[in-house]
This record gives sequence, C-alpha cells and structure tokens, in this order.
Amino acid sequence: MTRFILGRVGLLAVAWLLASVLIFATLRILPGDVALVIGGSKASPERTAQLREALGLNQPILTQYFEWIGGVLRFDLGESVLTGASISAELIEKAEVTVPLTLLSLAIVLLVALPLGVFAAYKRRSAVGQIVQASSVLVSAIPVVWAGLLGIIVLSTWLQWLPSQGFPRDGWSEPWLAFRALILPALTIGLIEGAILFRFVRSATLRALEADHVRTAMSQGNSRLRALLAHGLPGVGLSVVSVLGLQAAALLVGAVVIEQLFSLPGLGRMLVTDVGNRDLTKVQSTILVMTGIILALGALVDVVHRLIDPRMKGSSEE
Amino acid sequence: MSEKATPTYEKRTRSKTPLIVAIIVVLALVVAAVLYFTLGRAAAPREAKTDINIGLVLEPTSLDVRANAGVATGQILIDNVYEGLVGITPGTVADIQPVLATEMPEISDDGLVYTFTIRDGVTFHSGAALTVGDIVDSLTTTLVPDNVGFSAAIEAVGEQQVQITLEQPNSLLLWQLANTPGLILESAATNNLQNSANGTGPFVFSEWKQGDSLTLEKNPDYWGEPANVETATFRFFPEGRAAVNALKDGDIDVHTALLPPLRAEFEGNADFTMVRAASTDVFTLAYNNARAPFDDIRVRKALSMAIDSEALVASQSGDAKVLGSPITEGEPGYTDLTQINDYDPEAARQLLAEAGQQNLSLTITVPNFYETSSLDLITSQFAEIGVSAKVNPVEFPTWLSEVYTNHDFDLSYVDHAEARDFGNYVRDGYYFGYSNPEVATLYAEAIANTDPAQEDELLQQAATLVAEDAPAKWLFNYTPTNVVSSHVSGFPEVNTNSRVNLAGVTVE
Amino acid sequence: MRVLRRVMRTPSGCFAVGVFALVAGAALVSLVWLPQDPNAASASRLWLPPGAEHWLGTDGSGRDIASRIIAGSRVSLGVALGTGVLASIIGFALALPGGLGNRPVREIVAVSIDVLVAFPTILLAIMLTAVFGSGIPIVIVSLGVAFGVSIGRVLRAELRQVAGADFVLAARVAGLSKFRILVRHLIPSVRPVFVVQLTLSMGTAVLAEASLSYLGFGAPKAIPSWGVMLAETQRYISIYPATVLWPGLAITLLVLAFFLFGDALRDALDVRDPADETAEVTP
Repeated sequence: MTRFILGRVGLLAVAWLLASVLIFATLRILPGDVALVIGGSKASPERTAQLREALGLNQPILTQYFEWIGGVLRFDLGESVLTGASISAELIEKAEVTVPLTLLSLAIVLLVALPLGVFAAYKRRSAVGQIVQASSVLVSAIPVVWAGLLGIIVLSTWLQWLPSQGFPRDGWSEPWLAFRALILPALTIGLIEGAILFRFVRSATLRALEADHVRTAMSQGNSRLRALLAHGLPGVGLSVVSVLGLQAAALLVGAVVIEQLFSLPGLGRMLVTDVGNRDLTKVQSTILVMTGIILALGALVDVVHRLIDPRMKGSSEE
Repeated sequence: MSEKATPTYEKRTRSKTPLIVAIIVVLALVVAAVLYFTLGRAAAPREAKTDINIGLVLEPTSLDVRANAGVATGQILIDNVYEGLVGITPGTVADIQPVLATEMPEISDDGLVYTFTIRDGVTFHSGAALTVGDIVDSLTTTLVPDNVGFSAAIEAVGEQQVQITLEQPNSLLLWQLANTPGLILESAATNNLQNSANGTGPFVFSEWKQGDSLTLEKNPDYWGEPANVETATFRFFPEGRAAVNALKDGDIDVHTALLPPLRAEFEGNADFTMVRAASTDVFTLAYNNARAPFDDIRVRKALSMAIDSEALVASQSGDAKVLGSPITEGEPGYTDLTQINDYDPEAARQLLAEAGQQNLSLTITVPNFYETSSLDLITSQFAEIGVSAKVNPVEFPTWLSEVYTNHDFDLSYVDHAEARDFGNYVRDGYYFGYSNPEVATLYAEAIANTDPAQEDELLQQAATLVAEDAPAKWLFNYTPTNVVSSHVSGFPEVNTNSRVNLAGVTVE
Repeated sequence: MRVLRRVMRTPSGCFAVGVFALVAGAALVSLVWLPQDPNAASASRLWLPPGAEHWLGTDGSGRDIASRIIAGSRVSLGVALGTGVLASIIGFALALPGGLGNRPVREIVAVSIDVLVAFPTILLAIMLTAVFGSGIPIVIVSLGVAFGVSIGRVLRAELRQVAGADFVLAARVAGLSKFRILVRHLIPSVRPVFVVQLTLSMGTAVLAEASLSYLGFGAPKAIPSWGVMLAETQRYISIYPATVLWPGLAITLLVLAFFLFGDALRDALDVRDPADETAEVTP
C-alpha cells in the first residue's frame, strides 16, 4: 500500500510538471503583449522596450520557464506584472470565496445525488422514481447561465430571499452574510452538477441491485432494501468516489462562469480578468495551482479507490 | 414469506408512493418556511450612511495613473486622490480652475512662460508636505513630446512658485495640466504605484480588492473643503444585469454608464434618478487609412455615408448625440458637421462602384467589453450597400497590439473618451494612418494661438477638412446615463466616464 | 437498427428522436429558407413583442428572434456532432493503448490523461481562442479534446476491468487472437459505457458552447447561435424575459434530447447483460 501511495505521489509530481510545461507553452503563444498593456496606449516604443526588459520577456523562453517553475517550487508564485501585487496573497484572498463556494456546491451535489440516486434506482419502476429520474435529466440539461438567471428571478427578485449578486466586502467577518451570498450560486451549480452525479449513483445502484452478491443476499431472505443497503452500497460508494474527483474539478471550473454570473470576487473571475489583461505570470501561476489541486484530488481519489476496492488489491496496476 | 407473493402485499407497496410524495411535499414546505423566516428578513430600515458605493463598468488594470491605458484608473483616482496644479471645474467638460495652485497662472505676453503659485499647507497622504520640488519632478516626467506632443522646461522659482516655459505657445498646456499629465506625485514616495496611490486629494487610497472593489477613505488632513463621506467604494460590474441587481439590493448607491436598454428598469422608480452625463466620448469607427482600399477616399466616404447615425442614436435609448466630426459640443472647435458625408446609401453605392469596390468584405476589430447592438446595426447598414462586414471582438490588450500598435486592421470600433483629442488626426504614426498636411498646419496654428476665439475658428476649419476626408465615422457622442439613488446628492453630472469627482457628494 | 427500434419504443427515446428530427430539420430548412434575415438589424424595431411578422419578436438590435433560433440550430448541432466525433477519436486513441498496452505505455497514457483531465475545459477554450481567434472550430477542438480525454479515462478504466474479466481470460485461454478479443469482446462490452459517455458529452458540448459564449469565447457574432443569443440578452432578463427564454429553452430541449437518447440507448444496450456475455464466451 505504501508503495502504491508513493508511486501515486511520484506520478502526481510528474503529471504536475508536465502540466506546467503545457500551461507555459500555451500561454507564451498568446498574442497581445503584456508590456503594451502596462505601458498603455500612450507609451513610447522605448518605454515598452524598457518594460519588456524589466519583465524578463526578452530572456530565452527556457530561462523564463525555469525561473518561474523554480520560484513556484520555493512557494514563490511571483508578482502580478500589472499591479506588482503578490500572486500567492491574492490567490489566498480569492480562495476565500471560491473554496467555500466549491465545498458548498459539493455538499449540495452529494445531498442531492446520493439519496435521490439510490432512491430512484431502488424505486425505478414506481412513479416517484420515474419523476425523480426525469427531473434529474431535465435539470442537468439546463445551461448554467440560464439556471442562474432563473434562480435570480425567482429567489431574489420575486421572493427576495437571497441576494442576487456580490459578496460582502468584509468577507467572512460577517459569516452569515458571506454564507448567504454563496447560497444561490452554490445552489445553481450544485443542483446541475448534482443531477449529473445522480445519474452515476442511480446506474451504480441499478448495477448493484443486479450484482450477484446482492441477489444472493436477497435470495437468502433479506429484503431487497436490506440487501441493497448492506451489500450493494459499498459498490455504489466506489463508483461515486471514482467520479468525485472529476466532480470537484468540474465545480472548481464551473466557478468561472458562476462567479462571473453572480459577481463573486473569486479565483474564476480573477482568471477571466487576468486572461483579458494578459497578466501572464498571474494566469500561469493561477492555472498551475488550480491544475495542481485537481491533480491532487485525482490522486487522492485513486488512493481511496484502491483502499476500498477489494478487486484492485491483487491487480498489478501501480 | 408466502405473503410476499400475495396481491394484498403488492397493493400495500404501491400505496406507499403517495405517502412518500406527501412526506416530500411536507418536507419541502417546512424547508421553504424555514428559509422564508430566516432568509426573508425584510430589509432593515436604512440607517444614516456616511459611505457611498459606486458601481463602475470597467476595473483598472493597474493604479499607475500616469501609464495606464484604460479610463477606469483616472475615473477613480483623478480629483479624488491625485490632484494637479489645475483641474476641471466640476459641472463642466473642459473649464479649468486652480487646484494646487492658488490661482490661475500668470502667462507672459508671448504665451511662453506660465507661472504658478502653489498652495501652503498641502500634504501628501504619506504625511510629507508638498514642495515645489515634487511639482518640478512630476511635470518634468510627463511634459515630454511622447506624452503630450510638446516639450516644456519646468523650474522652481523660490519656495512657492513654479515656472513652465514652452518653446512655442500652446493652448493645450493648461488642458494637459488639468488632466493625467498634470497630476502631482510625491518624489520621495516609495509606494508601488501599480497597486497603491499617494496623492494630495480629499480621499486617501485604502484598499484594492481586484475583481471586486476599490476603497477610498476621507482624508482628514485635506487642505481644502473636506469630503462629506467617510468612505467611498468603487465596485466593478462588467455585467449590466449584476449592476442593476446591486442597485436594487442597495449594494451600490450609484451606477455609472448604465446600459441603455436597462433604463426601463428604473423608469418611474422614485428611489432612483437617472442623469445623463454630458461627455466628450466619441464612439469612433476608424478606417485604416494607410491600407487599401481605405486609402481611396471614395471608399471611406461611401462607408461613412452608409451609416445612419440617427438610427444608431435611436438604438442607444437616447444616451447619444449625432456627431459629424471628432469634436464634441463644449470643446473648442465644435461646429455642426453632421451634413458632411451624411447618410445616403444610394450615393454610397455609387461611390463604391466608381472605386471598383462593389464586393468589399471587411473586418471590424472591437474590444469585447462594448455593448454590440450598434455594431449589429452597422453591419446591417453596410450590407445595404453591398459591403459585408465581420465583427471581431477581442480583448483590449489584443486591440492595443493589433490595432493600436501594429496597425493590422480594416476597421476599428472604439470609444475615444478623452476631451480635446483632435490632435490624434495629425499625429504621425497614430493608428488611423491618416494624414493631411493642411489639417496639420491648421491644428498647429490653432494650438499655438493665444486667442481662444481664433483657436476655435482654426480648429473648426481643421475639423471640417477632417470630416470631408472621412478618415473615420464618428458614430455618436455617448452621453451615458448614471443611476443615482435618491439619498445621494451632488453626484457629478458631467464627464463621469473620465473622472468621478466625489468632493461635493453627500449621502443621507 | 434493432437497437434504435428498441429506443424508439420508450417515450424518452421517442421524444429525443423527435427533437433531433426537429432540430436537424430546422437546420436543413434554414440553409434554404428563413422567415427573416437573422442578421438584419434595424433601429426601428427594437425589442418588438411576438407578432405575425416576427413570430417570437425581435432583440435589442431589431433582429428577428425566430429566424435566429432556427438558424442557431446549425451551430448547436454542428458543435455537438463535431465534438462527438473528435471526442470519440481521441477517447479511443487514449483508451486502447492506455487500457490494453504494455505497462510503460499504460503508465504514460495514464499520466497524460491525468494531466489533460486536470486541465479545465473552459481554460483550454480560452487559451486556444486567444491563440487562434474565436470561432466554432476552436470551440469544437477544445471541447473535443476535453471530452475525448474524459471518455478516454472512463473507457480505459472500463477496458482494464473487462480485460481482467473471466470471459476475456477464457477467450484468451481458448486461443482467440488479441485483435479478435478486442473486436468481439472488449469493445462490445465497453460499448454501453462509451455510448452513454458520448451522448452525455455531446449534450454537454451544447451546454459548454453556451457557457463559452457567455464568457465571450464562443461562436462569432456574425453567425446566429443559441449560446450567443443567450449571452447577448441575459442582462435584460428582467425587462425582456422572453428574449432570454427562447434560446435557453432551445438549448435545454436539445441537450435534454441528447441525455434522454443516451439513457434510452443504454437501456436498450444493457439488455445484453455482462452475465449473458460470459455465458456466450465460455466454451
């Protein structure tokens, strides 16, 4: 097991480095010159050249890469070329919105998908099961932007229960206000992503219901429900765990649209702005951190999967 | 066990379904009720406020007010944090008043030497006192040809006076001093200009939360009339809908430059007033004059005549005025030139036929933050004269590099917000690629003229020539609507797209 | 064909096929005829309510919404199909060596999939757009790559499992060639998973196009598309809700059709239970 975990961590490191190369290479082909943005429309060519020099844009591309990645390895993400502000500090500030948003959405995803998924599979032939199944498909087919807008109209404009946009300027110093600001965004993406996870849970449960050991349990006199809960659910949990990493990643990325829609000052919105401003170092570092998180989640899921899946124990996969 | 097979059991299982539905309905009702009572707390009665929240469309990319290209930096920082020797009189587009100077400068008879006397007791937000040295250093940096189009020598005269000496008279000097180039920064300051600000104004820079807001605090040691509000927060809403919601939620008290179709949201709402701000914004459809086929004046004229300015103005819900030249009402040199190259699709088609360009296919490069309904109209109107135009929305930096710097474009759609920017039409290497020696001569004479009436006359002549040459279509003068909550008074009503002077603003 | 008939027997399958027919029909008709020019803007008819001339009214530029909805079907359908084809190719290209190759190959593919999966779809699209300019091909490429990788990931895991299953071992023992095992046993047994993933991806591609358009990285303005319509009008939802509802509804319907079709298809394919296959293979 230890060997497996070590191997997985090594793989994670390799993957992360590969990602960094990919990100760096792609971003360096972007048209639009960051020196021009900083200099503005009134800057003379000399000033632009000076800026390029100061920003290190004239160095060989490899040197630029190694300076960047070396800094990242020393936990120094560098400074924004536009504002000179520390990128790590800003990432932490924005994460105060995005991380709670992602966790809250994940909670909603699980709350929606797990019970309903098992229920809909268990009751697949009943009217309620069918209705739940049908509405899950409907919900997952709604564009996020549209769902958010409908949510705003119903919950904010009509019922006036929730704020329609924004995040308290003082952040979490007033936790209730901050939490309130995240409910509608988290509901929007949580319900939609939840409907997607629901499909996985339902089909996993259906598979479990037909699995030999569950059938055996049933034939041994256990009720269908008991057989499912006692013998089928571990398999369901396994399926859920294997998609959970991707699900969390989807939520993190979905935050890009959600934060834009609800004017939340989080990582996603910052990223869109920075891409627009050609703040290369910041975009690079932000994406690298985000992919790092997603990769780590993937590795974690693999380890957990391995821990709980009896079938994987004997396999040669490392 | 045998019971399992009996029909009675089957029936009982089925009868559970309504029960479950009932449970779910009840649960949903309970949850809804709980939510209603916990979340639906009616908006508390408003307490007297000492702070103001202002919604802006664009966020600064950097706080370096001298270098930045976007308008947002100046909108927030000029007047409020940074000041110059002179500034723009509140409520006007281009009138100039003394600020850090005690009075308007003494100008020598030949119009070459300007002498300013500076105020006593002015301090920077860092605590340091304003000295003539700061003024000399600031202006020496900015009054250079690359930046303002002319050069000047700046020197201190004693402890209280600064003298600016020009090589030839220039009516634009005071204008430049009242704008970004004239802002006075502290020479000895060590703050990072890109993410902080240290000036002499009535507000102190406090915090910039990127992607969200920028906060200014009242400057208790201000040399002049102190501000009425304790805190001013600018919040950024690239999305018009979010801004409307924020206004209605009470998150912001003012929103500048409301998208025209959104006016309907506030019509007849007593809690808000809508104020149309006079401005010098000119939405400009520039032709790449240096590139074929736009080097042919017939093509340029044809394109200009294809556009129905009245229709464009109508599409802006009244937030715009028809314009015939790059100079707006209220700036020197304004004269009504709307008749030149006016809407005439028939003549436009003819001109294109004469030029042999019946099947033109063009690309309009446009920064992606503008509302695009006017572009839809333009492409439709071009189609009427047989020109197919493709709109290419790009990030502003891409616009800067492709259009502004590399001149690699057909047509460009952009808002020229600056006042008194007619000089762009005589500037060598400007992205229009336009040059007319006659205009250049007239313009040089105009700004070298010390008599405002003559300057105005010469600029009118130059503007007429430019309008005839059609280097661009001046689509409309954009006069944005600001939505102001009824408990805010004194919010500036002019040129809020370039600067939002909060000195006289009060909040009840 | 038998599968399709089975699909058509379920109500959701019928619905899905009906929507496909409607959308495809609209797309085909729009090539030769539209009620109005979908791009003709006019200041004299902004925000018109639905009427005889403009069935669904006009938008903020005075363009006919009905015509734009009909013409927009081409883009959504094109994005869905293009993404589907590209994603399948990429998915199998990754899954086959990644699931069945020898160990070094498997490891390399595993790492590449992990890296690529971690790369956010939207960011990939933004970066590609910035490099090559925005356009439908860029949307298709970025979505195709992103979904192809996730299809590859799922297929790879599935292939790994199936490759170790009894019936495959049995087939190997029985002396079937690798290729025959692949074609006769491995691919058929991952087909249900693949089909579900593919339809999901195609539906999701239509959704992603809407999100990308909202962020300003979608189809160009000159081509009417549902995503762009949604993005252009969403800020006016409280004044002119109808203009926002139509494109949203169109997207939801098409995506729903993809999802339901996938479900029906899977149900139809699931009849061939893994248990049956084992029975078939065992000599």
